Amino acid sequence: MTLVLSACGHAHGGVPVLRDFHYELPDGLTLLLGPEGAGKSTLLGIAASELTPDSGTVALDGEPAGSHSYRRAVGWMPDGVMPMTGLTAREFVAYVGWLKGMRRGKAWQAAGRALERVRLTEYAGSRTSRLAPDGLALLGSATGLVHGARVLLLDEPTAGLHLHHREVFQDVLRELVDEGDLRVLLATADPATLPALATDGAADTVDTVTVLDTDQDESAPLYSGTAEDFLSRAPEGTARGRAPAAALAAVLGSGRGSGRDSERGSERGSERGDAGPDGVQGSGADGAEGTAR
Amino acid sequence: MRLRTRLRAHSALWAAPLAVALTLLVHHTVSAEPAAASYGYAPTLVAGPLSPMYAFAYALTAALGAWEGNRLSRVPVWRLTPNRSRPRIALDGLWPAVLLGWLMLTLPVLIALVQQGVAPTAASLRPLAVGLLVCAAYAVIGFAVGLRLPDVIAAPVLAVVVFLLVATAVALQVNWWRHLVGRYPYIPEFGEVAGWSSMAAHALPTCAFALAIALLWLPVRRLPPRLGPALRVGLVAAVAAAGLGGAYALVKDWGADPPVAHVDIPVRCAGQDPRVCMPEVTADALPDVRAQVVGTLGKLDRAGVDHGATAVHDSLGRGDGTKVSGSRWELPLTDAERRGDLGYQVVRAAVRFPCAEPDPMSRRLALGWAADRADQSESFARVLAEDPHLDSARREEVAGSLGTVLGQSAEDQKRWYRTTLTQACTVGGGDR
Repeated sequence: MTLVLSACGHAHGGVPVLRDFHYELPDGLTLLLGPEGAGKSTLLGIAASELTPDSGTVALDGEPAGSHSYRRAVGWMPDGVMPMTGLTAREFVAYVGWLKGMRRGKAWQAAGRALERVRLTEYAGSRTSRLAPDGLALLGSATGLVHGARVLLLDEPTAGLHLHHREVFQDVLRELVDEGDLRVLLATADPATLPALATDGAADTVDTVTVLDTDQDESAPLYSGTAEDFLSRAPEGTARGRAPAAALAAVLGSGRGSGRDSERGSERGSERGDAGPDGVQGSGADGAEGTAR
Repeated sequence: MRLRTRLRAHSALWAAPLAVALTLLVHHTVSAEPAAASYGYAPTLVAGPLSPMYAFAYALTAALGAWEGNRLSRVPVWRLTPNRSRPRIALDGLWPAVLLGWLMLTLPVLIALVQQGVAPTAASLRPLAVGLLVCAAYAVIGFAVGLRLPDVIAAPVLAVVVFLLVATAVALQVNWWRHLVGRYPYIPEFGEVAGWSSMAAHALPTCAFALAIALLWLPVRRLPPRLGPALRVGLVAAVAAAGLGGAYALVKDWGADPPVAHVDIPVRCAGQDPRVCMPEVTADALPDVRAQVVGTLGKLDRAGVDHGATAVHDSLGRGDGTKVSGSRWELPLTDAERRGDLGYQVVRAAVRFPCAEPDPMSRRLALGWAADRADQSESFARVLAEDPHLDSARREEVAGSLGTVLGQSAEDQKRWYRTTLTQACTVGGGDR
C-alpha cells in the first residue's frame, strides 16, 4: 500500500493539467522530473491534499486524502514556503507539528528529533531568518518529519542551492529513507537537483526517476524507472556529469515521438499489476528497468 | 505553538510597552475627573475611564491583527495542509493581540475601581464587556485584512482608520453613528446603568462585519464551484447588512445620549420627623447631614416658617434636584453637604408658595429672610451674587428691603413672611 492517485483530473483556469491520471508512489526516494508546466506541483499539491482533484481519488494506505490521518501521514513542503518570521528553527518545526494536529508539548519534543534527523540540531535555537538556504531546505524536510509522516513531498526544495548544499541535502534525504518507513517524492525541473544522479552512485541515492511531460492528455507519467535505467536513456558518449539532463531530454524527446500513444495501453497495464518484481513499471526497450510511453 | 514562543514571537510583545504607557497616560490626563465625581458608583467608575480608551484599543488590536494575519499568509500556513481549522489557527495567532487590547480597556477601569475602593457590579461592566467583544471583532477584521495586504501597509492604515472612525464618532452631528461604533458615548450618572439596547447597538455592526469578513477566508468546501463565489459574497453582504441594519433600527430615533436603565440604590436612613435617608455609598455623612437638616428646620420652626417635613431623602440618583411633595422632600443632600450649602437647600425647600410661579423678587425676599433666620445668609448672598437676572442696583434693592424687614419685631417679621408668600402669587409673574 502506498500513496495512490486514481483517475485524477485537475484543471487550472479551465485548462486541464491532469486528466484521468494514475500514479502510485514507489518505495524509497523518487525524483519527479519534468519541464515547467508539466504538472509536477499540481501532482504534489493533490498528493498533499492541498488541492482537491476535480475527479478521481487520492489515498494513502486506504486513508482518503484530506482526512486528518492522511494529512498527518503526509509531509508537504510546497515551493515558495517561508518559515514564520520571529521563530527559531525548532519553534517553527514545532508549530508545523501543532498545525498538523499534534499537542504543543509533543510537537516541541518531536521538533527536536526532526531537526536532529536533518542535521540541524545545532541551529535549533537560531532564528529561521538567519538560516542559510540549505538550512531552510533541511528545515522544510524537518517540518515534514515532525508529525511522523510516512510520505514526504518536496517541491523544488533545492532551488538556488550550491552544489555542496545539494549534496548535503540529498545525503540527508537518503538517510531518512534508509532509516525506515518513509517515501520521498521530490519534484524539480532541474535534473541536477540531486548531484548523485550525475555520479556512479546514482542508484544508491535515487530509487526511482519519474518524468512528467506537458501533454495533459496523458493518464500516467511519461516515464518511470530506476535511476540507472533513466541515465541509460542518455545518448552514448554523454559525459557522466551531463547524463541526467541528456537522459531527461531523451525521455521527453522520445515521449513526444510518434509511438507514444500506442504505448499508453501497456503503461496502464503495468499500473494494474504488470509491474516487475521490483515494483518498477514495465521494462525499457533496451531491457533496463523502466518504462516510457 | 508553545505559550512562551507565542508571546515572545508575537507583535503584541513589542507593542505592549507602548500600549500600557499610552493607557496610563490617557487615564492620568483624561479620566481622573469622572472618577472623582463618581460617588463611588461603579457604572460611572467603569464607563468614565473607558471612554477615551476605546479608540486606542480598537486601533491597536486591528493593527496587530493585520500584522499577524500577514505573517501567517507569508508562510503561507494554509498551504501546509494543516489539520487545525482556520479559525483555530487564527485564534492562536490573535489571542495575544486581543489580550493586549483587553488590557488597554481593563487597566484604567481597574485603576479607577481600586482607587475608589469600589467593587464592580455586573451591570456596571456592560460597557466594558461590549468593548472587549468589539476589540476581538476588530482583531478578526485586522487579521482578514492582513491576509490580503502587506503588513507594513495594512497595520498602520487600519490603526489610523479605526482610530478616526471610533474617536470622531462623538464629535459628529450624526447621532445614530455615535451609537454604533463600539464607543459607549455616555457616562452613567448615579442610579443609571447602560441599557442593553445600546450595548447591542454598539456590538452588532462591528461583530457582524467581523463575521462577514471572516466568511471570506473560511474554507467552505461544499459550495458548488461556479456558484460558490457569488453565494459567499451574498452571504457576506447579508451578514454585514443585517448587523448594521439591525443596529441602525435600534438607534435611529435616539438623541445624542443613549437611553439608560435605572437601578434601585440601597439607602440608609436615620431618625424620625424628619427621617433622613442617603444612598449607602455616601451614608457615612448621614449623621452630620441629619444634624444639619434638623438644626436648620428647628431654626425655621422658631422663625415661623411652616415646612411640615417628616422625611428628607437624598435626590442623588433621582435627578439630583429638589422635589417637595407634602411632607416628603427630596434634596441633593450629598452634593449640598460636599458644597457646604446644605442648610440653604433646606431653606429653599421649606419656603413654599401657594402658586407654581411666584413673583421672582418676592421669592428672593422671602428666601433671603428665611435664610437669614436659619443662619444661611452667606449662602443666600452667594446665590444672589450669581443671579444673572439682577444687576447691582437690584441686589442693593433686595439687601435694603431685607434689612428693613429684619429690623422689625419677630412677630412683624412672621406676619411679613406670610403676607409675602401670598402676595408673590398675586402681583403677577415676570422679573421686576
